[in-house]
Amino acid sequence: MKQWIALIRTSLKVYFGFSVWRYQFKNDKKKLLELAAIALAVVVGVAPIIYGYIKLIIGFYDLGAALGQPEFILMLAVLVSLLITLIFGFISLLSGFYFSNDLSVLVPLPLTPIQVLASKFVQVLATEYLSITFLYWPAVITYGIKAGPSFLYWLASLAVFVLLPMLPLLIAAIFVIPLMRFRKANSDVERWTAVISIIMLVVILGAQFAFQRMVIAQGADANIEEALFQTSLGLSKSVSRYFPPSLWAMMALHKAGTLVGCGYFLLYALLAAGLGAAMFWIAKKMFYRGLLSGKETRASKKLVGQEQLTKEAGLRRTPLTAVFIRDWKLFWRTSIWVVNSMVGALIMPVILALTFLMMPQEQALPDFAELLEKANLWGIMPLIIVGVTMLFGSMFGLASYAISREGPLIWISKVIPVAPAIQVRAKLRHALVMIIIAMIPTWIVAGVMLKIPLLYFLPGVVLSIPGLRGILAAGLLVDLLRPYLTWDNPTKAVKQNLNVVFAMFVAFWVIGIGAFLAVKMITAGLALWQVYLGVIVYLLLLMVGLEMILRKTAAQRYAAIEV
Amino acid sequence: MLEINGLSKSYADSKVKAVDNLNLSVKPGEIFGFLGPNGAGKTTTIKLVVGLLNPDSGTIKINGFDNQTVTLEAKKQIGYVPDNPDLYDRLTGLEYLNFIADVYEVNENVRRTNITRYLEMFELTGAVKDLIKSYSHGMKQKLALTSALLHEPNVLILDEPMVGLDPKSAHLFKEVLRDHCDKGKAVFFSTHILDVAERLCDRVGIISHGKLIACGTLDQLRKGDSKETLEQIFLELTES
Ligand SMILES: Nc1ncnc2c1ncn2[C@@H]1O[C@H](COP(=O)(O)OP(=O)(O)OP(=O)(O)O)[C@@H](O)[C@H]1O
Ligand SMILES: [Mg+2]
Repeated sequence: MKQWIALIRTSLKVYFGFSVWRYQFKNDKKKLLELAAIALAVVVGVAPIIYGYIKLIIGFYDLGAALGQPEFILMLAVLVSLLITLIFGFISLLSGFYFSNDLSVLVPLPLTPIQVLASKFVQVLATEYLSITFLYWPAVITYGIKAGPSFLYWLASLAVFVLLPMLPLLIAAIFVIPLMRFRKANSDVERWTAVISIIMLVVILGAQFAFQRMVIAQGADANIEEALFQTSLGLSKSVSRYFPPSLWAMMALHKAGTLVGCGYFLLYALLAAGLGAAMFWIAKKMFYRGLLSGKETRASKKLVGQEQLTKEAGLRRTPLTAVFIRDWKLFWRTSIWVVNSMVGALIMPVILALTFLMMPQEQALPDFAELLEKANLWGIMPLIIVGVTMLFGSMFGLASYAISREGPLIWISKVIPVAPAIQVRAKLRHALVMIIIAMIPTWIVAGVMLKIPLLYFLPGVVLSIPGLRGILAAGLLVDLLRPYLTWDNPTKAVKQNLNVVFAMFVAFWVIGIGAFLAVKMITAGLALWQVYLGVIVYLLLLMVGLEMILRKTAAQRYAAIEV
Repeated sequence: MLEINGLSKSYADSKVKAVDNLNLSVKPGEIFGFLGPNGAGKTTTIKLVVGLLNPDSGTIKINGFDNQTVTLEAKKQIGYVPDNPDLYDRLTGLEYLNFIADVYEVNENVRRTNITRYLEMFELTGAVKDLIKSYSHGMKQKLALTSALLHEPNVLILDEPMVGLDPKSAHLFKEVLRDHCDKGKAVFFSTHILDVAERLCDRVGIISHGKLIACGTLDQLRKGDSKETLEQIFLELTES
């Protein structure tokens, strides 16, 4: 047991870099100051967003309460936390189990496979707690204040929080552990992993969809309304279909202090325990073997002819293109980055498609077109597309870890005789190309589903390019100001990088201001062309201004990096 | 070719100077060996020269270009191999070499000749299409060296280049250095292998606690006692 605790403690320490922090705080008072400044900036910058977020939650609560179902907000919080843990836990476990660098240290130590696995599992679990905190607690506290439950509710909320992410993470682990065993010998592990995770996610979502269809087909249309709004727990029961145990966790909160509540809690805990046992059993059978096969890299030792070598060594590119190509290759060959930035690109359109497909036929799509027609809104359709594109685009976080992606290998970028301004331009170009690739599925799905004519669609897409460039430049700027370069595992470059979050907030501001201006111009009765002119000027100013600042700061910031 | 004047550097989180008022120069056509005990400041000096660290004071000129003011020009003069050849694991050897040739703007003919020549010499041709991840330590070292030689730099700067090379590669490597200098270019490298330094270097410098405590040709360091080996000199000088 002692060994277990020591291992898990050390691995958490290493993972979150506690020792490094302590060392820095002791030795570098400037770091402390910097941190305080960042915290302040975050509070100021994020406050309005948090305010809006809390408003939204309270709104949801009131909505539920008005329907006599105040617990609905709990349901949403629990469900979203669970789904997020399931999807992102899957990715984190994959990289934690098979790609973390300390594995080559841990495996030779006299530890059992189960211990190594457990320490990795706990690492991932710890990060999941962090990420669901912001989903879970605001809703739980809102309910706690507004519905005035008993004291036991607060105890239960803590217990549920502790247990909540375990269940989906265990499910993810049960899928992840065997994966490596079924890899085709000699295939490229990284690419294989990326492909598998995308397939898995699509399968999960597809199954969800099929299930939904079935349920809808069963219930006669007329009864849906009654089922949702008249039955107690109707809304919660309906959404919990996405992940049934979510209902149990919600009930453990909602009925806290009663026997029923305890029962649901036990049910949830038992399922988690059962899954835990299953995971250990599977791990015993296959973890190390899969792990070891994952460490091999293909080395073909194919003979390269002299001619071929001279041919391929001859192609000459400009430094800008060379840096672009390097970033492009490194990005696509690091599955965790691809999955992190591109899964959203696939999930969003799938969710969009499912939402529309699931609506009862007669009230779905024509409504939308009619609505626009009636309100005479087709004219601003391109603007809506710009806004939505920028909003989605800001979430992929492509530029906001473009410098951090270099990690310790930044030494190469510092040694080569390529001006930082050019390197930064190459990164910007890379992010833009990636973001356009990432947006294509969403654009297509949205265009087809909502039946938006190309006449409106294309201008929207074209107009969003300067906007995207603006927010990408902002993201790159954030990363340039405080790059995270000391990671030892590519997962950390994105997962433990606050820049990704900061950049997202900056982008929200940029989009918010733009939207505000546009709405003001429309309500002030300006002609449509004037509104467009205003928006174009705003986006161009944004793009040109931010890119200029970026190029100006690049040289100085690159020089300040010491490795 | 390389001129270091009054160079000092202390790391942010320590008060000790890792490099302390260092002065030295390397002439064209010269191989300069940089010696010193562990933690003496060799790597720090080299990183300052190639621009990975910023000096607290002092200037560094590479072929006349100050690396603080005309940074890009200075960088073009340098070919650098770090002590730990960490390269892009997820590129193939050839992709890496092409990247380096592109960013140093090496023209087609030169890059073709150099890539084929050094790859053949170091017996890497068979591995150039594999990811660098699959290379052994020595193979990475040789790839890094190849990449540093592609643009025929005026100053070759190497941090413990012999570590991990097999005898044959080490031998070839020494020939490459001699070749390089015969073209009137300079080599500056740190090493712990005193035999190599003794036989290969035109001049050596010995650094200890950040200070240059001796510098010159072997004969100058011996101060007349012609029997003395570099090892004896080194131990005497770094004793205190
Ligand atoms: N990143 C760092 N942060 C703080 N101090 C450092 C750092 N790197 C080196 N030092 C310190 O600077 C001094 C010089 O180190 P340097 O790496 O230059 O030595 P070296 O001569 O290359 O040694 P070796 O022969 O072991 O390679 C040492 O005292 C070391 O502790
Ligand atoms: Mg060293």
